[in-house]
Amino acid sequence: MSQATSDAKETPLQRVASWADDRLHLAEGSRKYLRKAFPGHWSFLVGEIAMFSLVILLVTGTFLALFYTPDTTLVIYDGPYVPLQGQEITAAYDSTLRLSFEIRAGLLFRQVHHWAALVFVAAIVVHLLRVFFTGSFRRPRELNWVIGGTLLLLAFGAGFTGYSLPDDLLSGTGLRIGYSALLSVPFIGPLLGYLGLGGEYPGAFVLGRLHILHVMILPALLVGVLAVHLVIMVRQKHTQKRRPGATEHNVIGEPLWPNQTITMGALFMFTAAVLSLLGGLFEINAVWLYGPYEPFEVFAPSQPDWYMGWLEGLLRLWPAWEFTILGVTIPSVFIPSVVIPGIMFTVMFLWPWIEVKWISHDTAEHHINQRPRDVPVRTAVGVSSLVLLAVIFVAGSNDVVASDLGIGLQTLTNWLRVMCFVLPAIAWFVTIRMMRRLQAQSVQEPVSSTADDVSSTTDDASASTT
Amino acid sequence: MTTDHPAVWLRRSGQVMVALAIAALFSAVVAMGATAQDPDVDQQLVQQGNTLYQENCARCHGGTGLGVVSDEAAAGPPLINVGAASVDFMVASGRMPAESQYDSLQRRDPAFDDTERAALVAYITQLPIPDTMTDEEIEAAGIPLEPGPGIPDIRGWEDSDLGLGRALFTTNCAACHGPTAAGIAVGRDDVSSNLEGVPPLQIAEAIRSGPGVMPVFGEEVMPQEELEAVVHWVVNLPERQSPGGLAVGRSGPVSEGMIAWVLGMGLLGVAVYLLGERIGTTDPRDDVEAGDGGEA
Amino acid sequence: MSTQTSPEDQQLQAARQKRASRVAALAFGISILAGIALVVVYVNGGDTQAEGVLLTLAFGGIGVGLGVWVKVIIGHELVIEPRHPMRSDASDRQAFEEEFDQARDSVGSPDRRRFLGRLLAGAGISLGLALTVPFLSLGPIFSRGARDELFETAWTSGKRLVTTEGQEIHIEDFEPDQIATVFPQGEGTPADSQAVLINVREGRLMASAMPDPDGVVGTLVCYSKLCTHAGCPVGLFRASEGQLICPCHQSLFDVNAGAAVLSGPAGRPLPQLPIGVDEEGYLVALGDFSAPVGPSFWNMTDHSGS
Repeated sequence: MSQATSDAKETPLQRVASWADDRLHLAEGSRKYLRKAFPGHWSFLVGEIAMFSLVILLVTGTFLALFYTPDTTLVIYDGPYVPLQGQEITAAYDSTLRLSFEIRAGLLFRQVHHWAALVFVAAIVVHLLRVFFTGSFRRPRELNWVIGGTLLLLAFGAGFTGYSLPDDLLSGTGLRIGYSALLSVPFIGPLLGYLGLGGEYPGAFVLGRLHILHVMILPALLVGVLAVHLVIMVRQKHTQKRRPGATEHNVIGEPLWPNQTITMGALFMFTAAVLSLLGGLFEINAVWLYGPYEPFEVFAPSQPDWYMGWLEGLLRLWPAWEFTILGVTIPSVFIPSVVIPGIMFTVMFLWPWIEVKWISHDTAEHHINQRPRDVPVRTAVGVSSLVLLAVIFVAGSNDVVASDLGIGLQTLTNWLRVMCFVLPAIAWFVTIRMMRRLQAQSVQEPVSSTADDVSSTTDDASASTT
Repeated sequence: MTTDHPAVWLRRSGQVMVALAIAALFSAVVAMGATAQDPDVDQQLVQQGNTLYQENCARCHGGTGLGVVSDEAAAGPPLINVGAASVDFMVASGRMPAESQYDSLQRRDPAFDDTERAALVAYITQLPIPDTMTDEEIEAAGIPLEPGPGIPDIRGWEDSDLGLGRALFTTNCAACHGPTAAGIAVGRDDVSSNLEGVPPLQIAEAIRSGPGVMPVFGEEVMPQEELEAVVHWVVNLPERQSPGGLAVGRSGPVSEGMIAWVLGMGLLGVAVYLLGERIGTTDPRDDVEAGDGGEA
Repeated sequence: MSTQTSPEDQQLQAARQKRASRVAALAFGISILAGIALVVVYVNGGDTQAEGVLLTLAFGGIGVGLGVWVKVIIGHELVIEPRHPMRSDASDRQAFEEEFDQARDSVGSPDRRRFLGRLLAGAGISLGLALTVPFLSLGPIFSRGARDELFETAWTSGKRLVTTEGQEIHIEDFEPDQIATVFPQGEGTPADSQAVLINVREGRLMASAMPDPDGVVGTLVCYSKLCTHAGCPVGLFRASEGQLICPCHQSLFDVNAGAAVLSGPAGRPLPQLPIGVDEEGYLVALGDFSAPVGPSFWNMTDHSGS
């Protein structure tokens, strides 16, 4: 072999690399990626927090799955937690208690897993907002916007199935409400309920099915869809923030090797560190205090994890509108738990096209991010939606808020109903005004952005002629 | 309970007071089981109770305990046959005397000492239904025909079954007081009480008498051993250590979500801010390295 | 990195990098120690808080080290990559189209392609259906009683009311303002049969507002415990006002008036369980609930099918 002459000077790393390249022809294809440009504005790193949280979820989740049993058979608890000793509980709840109290580092892993789930969805949401308010979803990235939204939905699903598994009183309550939403669908609700649970609530197979969804189907989908998300991102290259030198025809950023690689390594470590800190020092979901699930028991306050708070809020705010037309009843749960979320996500998924059709009429390719002020209407839509969601979110814990503020529960709920209309409207006008004012200011202090506009219009021309 | 410190009180008081204190001790023991009209009730204690009652309670509850129906601040329910547990609970927890009928009846420092409370219990529990009232009038006034529950005896609570208490608490109490008995809004303007630090006897009295909007859990639904077990669990709750770490607020997912956002996303926000580029703070034009990507 | 820096700048830069190296070394050192300590803690029985903090130090140490390394020692560096429109060149598109069409034409004449293509699609749909149908096994939708299940509970006439501990309830045992969760005797605790027995205050009960005015015993009244909104147990009882609240979404029901909805999102009253007293003085059910229990569903007003 020709390489034999230089073998003497090769380090072990080089030897491995040579071995791999000899067999897979890697060097040619990989070389250009070493200097791939990563626009490094800090807000671009939030999506990576979500990705790293997912990695930590997979690792800790695998550990937990080695101890958890999705089994509703009743057993007598004889573990170290005194208040439950001698009581009949399900094997699922028993295994959750055992992995919390008897498996070394089990409680740490369980808590890190749960905190990672909360941070995972939070990071997805912040990432989504960044993409929305900077217009990063515009052509050619509409597809990745939809895929990102799908990831958010999958994260909701993974979270819900996850916190339903321990079979404690809180998880059972959440499941009950989820089942009611399923049941409320006209014509097929009861069928869906039967198919989902294997019979009338609580059904015989619930935990087993949630478990398979949670540890196999949803993680596989999450990883698969995330892979597509990333491949498309690499293919389309990153968007970039407007800066001197940035045009629609280049990407300015730190090179993948070494800068971005080390930055990502550091961020992974920080994500793991923060989640370890939360998992070690802050108690989460103390299922031993809640007790085993009994369908006839419940406690107040019963809230879902934060990312389901808006759904809970919708259920608490929606008036008691239930009517029967021609023998078909529309249950009061149906609209807030199925129709409104359905509309919300449809609008979100279709937003790139909605914006083109009614707001921007701009079908050209864009790679330079906008500032929120550049499209005041979009920004106002975003801010108003956020404000509306915030009000609904507060309503999701109206009992906690009412007792903390010393307001009557029904009084608060009625106020929040009004606020659902008032605050988004105020937010709309304030945002529009603010954006217009900022726009006026930036006209007075010219940036090099004019150059971008020119290049993007030429881009339009070239795109339309071909 | 007046059995707590009669000795301390004795030394500081004169002859009359000595007699009163003994009477207080006696009457409290009687009040545990006996009904109000018992002839053994010490009349001197009742007299003291009468005085205290007329000064502090009669304005809202009426001179003979028939209650006052009014739109004014001074309105209150009848006290005839409410039972010793109710009176003792209301006075010991400082909820009574209330400022007005609009008072939200929160836990306060008690206005009366142990003897005075025993006197009030003795007086109120012996208030008779006036002979002149017809059955309809009694019903309309909301006066129970039978005397309410006496002060429960829960001396055995520390030896009771903690597990049974946990299960019973979840079935009967957690719907309003929450899984950690921290209290929560329960409709209208009412908030269920935070039970941390509440003396065991008051917990038992509340269970038996159902103060405010709270339901009653009588002997038949919750026998003595179950009552003691529930008291045990409630007293034990704040002492239970949190193996998972700091339990901030203990209102479950609400505080957990706040920690995830403020601390989790907060710290990670700092991390990305430090790790990422802050365009605008430095002029990047100097640093642009051209050419390398040109051939890609 | 830029090259036109003065000697002072270079010196400053070198000093910064030296300092940063020390910080990174320290951080990595902390990480090593924390890792070792973690093993020691684990072997000695473990402690969630100590493990969490040590894990934070171990990860955080590497994070700080790497961060300092990339931000200070390596420093800021930018590259520019060219970017081309996503759309392929017109010539490439056309070449693709031609090659595709050419290969397609070898499949056969347009008529034959259409004919075979349609049959293939039909076969695909048929196979898809056949493969999907077994998923109906997920629930007992073919069993005889399945469609009745939402309309029926375990309560039948004459069944005694028992508490969750299985205790029967004598008519004289129940004080005013008292509440108990009850189930039909001998049936265990089926979720759809849970009911609340309440002794309301004298003179408050409005019999006319009850679905079954004869299904009450004095001041004793019994309702389904399943909220008609989202199915949570309606466990929160405001005794002095005779109101039940669902702790999940705060629907408020008037116990004295047939459990009508006073506020909140529930769309209909809690179904009433008609009760009576047997010869021995124990409370018994007089039949099933007055309406389907729990959350509403589309065909709940029409149970003619059974």
